[in-house]
Amino acid sequence: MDPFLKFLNIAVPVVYMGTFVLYSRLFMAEDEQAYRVSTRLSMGFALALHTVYLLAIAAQFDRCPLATRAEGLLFGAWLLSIIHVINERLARQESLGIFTLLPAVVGTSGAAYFQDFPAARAVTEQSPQFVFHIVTSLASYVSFCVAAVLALMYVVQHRRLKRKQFDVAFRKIPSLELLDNVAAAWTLAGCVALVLGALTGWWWVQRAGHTGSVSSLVPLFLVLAVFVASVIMRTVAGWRGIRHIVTILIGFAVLLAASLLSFLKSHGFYG
Amino acid sequence: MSESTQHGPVEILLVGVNHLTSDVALRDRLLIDADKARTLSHDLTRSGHAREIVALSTCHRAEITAVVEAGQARPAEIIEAWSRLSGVPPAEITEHSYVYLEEAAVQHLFRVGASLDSLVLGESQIFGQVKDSYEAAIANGTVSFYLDHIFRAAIRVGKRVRSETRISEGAVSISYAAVELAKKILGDLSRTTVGIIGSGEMGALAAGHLHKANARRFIIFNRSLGSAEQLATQFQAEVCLLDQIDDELHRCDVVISATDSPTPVLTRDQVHRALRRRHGGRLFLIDISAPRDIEPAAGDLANTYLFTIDDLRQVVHENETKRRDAAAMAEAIVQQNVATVTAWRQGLAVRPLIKKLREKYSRLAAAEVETASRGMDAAERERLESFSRKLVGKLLHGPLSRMKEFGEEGNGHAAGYYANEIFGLSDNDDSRD
Repeated sequence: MDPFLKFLNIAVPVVYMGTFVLYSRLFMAEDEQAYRVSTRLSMGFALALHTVYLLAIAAQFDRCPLATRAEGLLFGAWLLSIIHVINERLARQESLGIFTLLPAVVGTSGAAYFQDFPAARAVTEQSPQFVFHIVTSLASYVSFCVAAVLALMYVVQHRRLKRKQFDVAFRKIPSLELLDNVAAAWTLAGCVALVLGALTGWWWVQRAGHTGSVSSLVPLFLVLAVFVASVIMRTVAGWRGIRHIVTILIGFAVLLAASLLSFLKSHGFYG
Repeated sequence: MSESTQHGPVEILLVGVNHLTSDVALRDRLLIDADKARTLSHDLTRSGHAREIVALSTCHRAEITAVVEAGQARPAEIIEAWSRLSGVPPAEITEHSYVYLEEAAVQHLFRVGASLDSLVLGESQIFGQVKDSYEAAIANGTVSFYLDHIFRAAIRVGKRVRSETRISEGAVSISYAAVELAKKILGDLSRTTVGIIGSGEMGALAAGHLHKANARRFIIFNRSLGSAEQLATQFQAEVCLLDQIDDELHRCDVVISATDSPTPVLTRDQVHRALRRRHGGRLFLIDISAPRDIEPAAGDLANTYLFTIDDLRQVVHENETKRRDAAAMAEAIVQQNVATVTAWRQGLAVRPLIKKLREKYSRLAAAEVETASRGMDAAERERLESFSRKLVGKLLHGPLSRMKEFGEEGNGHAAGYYANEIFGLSDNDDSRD
């Protein structure tokens, strides 16, 4: 492994962990102002370093950095970080990074552990359709992940209101209405991305002459079914609140199970 | 603002009454509105009892901050002027007022602006009131060098306290606590519908705060339509009979119940039926009656959040505790800024000295330039003059900075002594205007 890549492989998750610690401190602090600047700087640095890492992989191996599960985790974590920064701007508060950044920390740490940088893939496997399929699929997983994080925050706030606990978490977590709506938005985005990813994946398989098995698509359909049902029940039947939140969490549980199964079964995406 | 330092040293004096030292009746009589502030300020400045004046008057306090000649700080003169204006005998004002001088006056002013001296710790109105009183005094022409600096500092302190501490955060009244909780559950209240059960004062008060927080749709449920009319007009609300609550409850996002019914007016089953029609939309129930209007079991339903008056008091109590914790940080900010103002005032004492020294050496340099530049053309002369100015500035920078530090440390006399001994400054080295 190139020494620079080796360094980045360790540095990126470490910087994310440090940023997560800063977000935790910000969340627990009474005076957020004292920690806000350092937290923002750390997040900016983490995202920049992460971007450099992805570009370095692409430059080193002359391919898109999506050849393995580890690189998929890395790319997914990168998308999560960007979504986290967007969410911060939308919600106008930095105290939620303790929740929304955690998946990125896990993703980069997992990527570092499993990383082995295989050489360039076959040209056909690096076709634009393939790359688009991978990116949209990852974007869908990331969107569902963000929706699940927001759903968990909803549950935390819901329980605090039910139990009349007015602690730091109660003060810092946004309103149930905001969490419900934004979680729904990311669920919808995830469904759209997953459908696009599935269609382009199917198209690529047909063009590349690969023989994919239908059984490997079952987890995908299960995930899609749960999340699409959530979207439909919200838009058509007007589902709100805990009911809606639970469907998101069930969908994410199915997604996690499907991803774990897929990861354990094969090393590469189509290995 | 013109510097007034050449008119001699001054003292800061503050005389006032507040909610701790006087009752509301006396404060009403001592109220200083805009016209009275103008009259009082001109009265005191024209009679020479004060050089600068700012009058602050709110529901909970009336204070007069003045800059007077050093050694001539006489609160009695300010109290007499106030007495003439208000008709309150001077003895009565004296009995109920407080007097602060110098650093204590500055500290009190900063604490007032930071809402540390308010009836409700951290209340936000006082900051604007301090600002308004300062601006009114500027318009009256009774603010000059000192109070301009001090009141600007007070405004900065108020801003810092608000932005760096949590002293103004969290509701400290039952009604505001209800609004806070509504926002936590429902987010933007402009799209919510508020149901009010009963037409009494408590319900109206809570509804009023929700209305101020942008809630716009109200439904009043009452046993009779007539008695709810006034409330309906106030909030442009629909009025329904209490019997119709089953049909309309599902439209409400917030329900405030404040009747004097001896039995519950809203049951768990009614709430459950409404929730089903709302497809899980959140419902915030506020029960501020005794005995309770809403069955406690209604709070166990999935998307329902039931708060009684005791729960709201708990919210208020916790917020009050947090504000008190934040007050310690706010006091530190106040002390820091009082020290800065004190250093600034001490530094003023050496300003004439610094000016003298700079002028003495500028004159010396100019004389030498005059001699050396004979026969030079205009451009060369200009270069020589520029060189001499820069040289004098660089040579004096160290000594002048040190003199300034001496002044800020309260050692103005030492600075004067050393300036005389080392630089030969004397009374003959008068500054030229």
